[in-house]
Amino acid sequence: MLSPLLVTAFAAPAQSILNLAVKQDPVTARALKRFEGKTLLLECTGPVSWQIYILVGAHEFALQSVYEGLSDAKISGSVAALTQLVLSKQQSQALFKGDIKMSGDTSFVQELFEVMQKLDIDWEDHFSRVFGDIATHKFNTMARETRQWSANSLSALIDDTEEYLHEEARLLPTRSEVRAFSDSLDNMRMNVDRIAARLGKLEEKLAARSL
Amino acid sequence: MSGDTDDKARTTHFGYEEVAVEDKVNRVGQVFHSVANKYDVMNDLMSLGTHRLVKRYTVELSGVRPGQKVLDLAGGTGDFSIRFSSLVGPTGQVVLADINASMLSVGRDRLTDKGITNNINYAQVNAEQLPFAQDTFDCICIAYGLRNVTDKDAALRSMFEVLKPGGRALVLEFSKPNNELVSKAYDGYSKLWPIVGKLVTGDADSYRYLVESIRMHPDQQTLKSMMENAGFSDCRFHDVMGGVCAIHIGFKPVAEH
Repeated sequence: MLSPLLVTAFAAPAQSILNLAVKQDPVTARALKRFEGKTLLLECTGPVSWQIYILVGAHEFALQSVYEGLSDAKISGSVAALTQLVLSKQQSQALFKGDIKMSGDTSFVQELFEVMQKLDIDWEDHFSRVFGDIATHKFNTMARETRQWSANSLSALIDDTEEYLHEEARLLPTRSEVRAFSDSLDNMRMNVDRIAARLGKLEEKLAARSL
Repeated sequence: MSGDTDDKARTTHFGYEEVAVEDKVNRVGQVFHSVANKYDVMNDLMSLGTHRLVKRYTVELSGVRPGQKVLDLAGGTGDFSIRFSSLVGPTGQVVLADINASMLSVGRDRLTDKGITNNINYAQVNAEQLPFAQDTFDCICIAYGLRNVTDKDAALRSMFEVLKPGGRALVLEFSKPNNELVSKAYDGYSKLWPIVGKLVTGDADSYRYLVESIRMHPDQQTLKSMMENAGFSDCRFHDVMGGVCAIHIGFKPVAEH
């Protein structure tokens, strides 16, 4: 089990980030009110086991390594399962799938995940309050162009690398070559099976005649 | 009189030095008057910031809930009071208490600057004779303070007295590392503190006292026994960073009342 002090070291910044995000979306912050006072225990079972308590306040969360009380619900699973849950687009459904184990007040957990999934931060609005509309618009345009350029560049890099490995260096077979090879292998396997079956029948006939 | 105080000669230790019992309060007072303004900076430097985690962990162990009354004893610059204040909420109350006027003043200014005013009170008190009614607080926390008290047993008895039945006392204090390697590394590192203290606050002696007082402080088991002798039940302690610090927890039994 990971030392509670180490968990505290991670919990402190995680709590700040989570609360900062919630603060940016007043709708979600208000929706948390109905869970006020509830506690969720998140337990990681491996490869390194640790646990963290998520206490829901009126408009924010508190993350603690220890909690001197009973939690309302518990979610446990491996790092992989918990990561999958967090990254899932349908978290409330993902709770009931895979290697996640849930106990206690499951409706509270499901509703909490539904609320958190709706977290929608209007970054443009927050930026414009600090830097003004013109600067924010320019920054957004730049960010959008950079994102588009990055996506295009990445896609071109993947295509070029694939083409070099397949066509120029001839280090790897192309997809169609692999498919053709796989098909001919399947044909050969079926032909061999047929011959083996015929041979078997012939052997049976020969054995019957010799009797 | 405390176990670390000689009744006949009426002396007690001040770091490695033997001083008259009545002098210790003044000597400790001088130390904290001297360092009050740079106390938080020095804490960060000496602990490399880890004191924040230890304090956060201690507050988690306190189990403080909205509406409760908390005594932050030897609270100094108010690190704990800030945390407790948000936990008890508007219906609760926190008392930031310290024997040292300079430390209390720094703490009060800091909390006021942060806008924490509605559920906080301040009191200059001697931990050995707490001026509160019996059964007042749900939780009492003394962090890095018991070491400086002349009569530790009297302080623990006094804490027990003003704690509500079922209430919880927490003592966060430097302790004895339970690993030889950690102990040696810590010894070597703490020798730097007076030098850092001299550079930052211009006062090496106060930090020499700090190092010496840590060495003279009772170990985990002894402090646990002292708490039990004061009347606390279900006493336990949590070692932090291999025993460099320890958080002792004790409860006031409900059955007695």
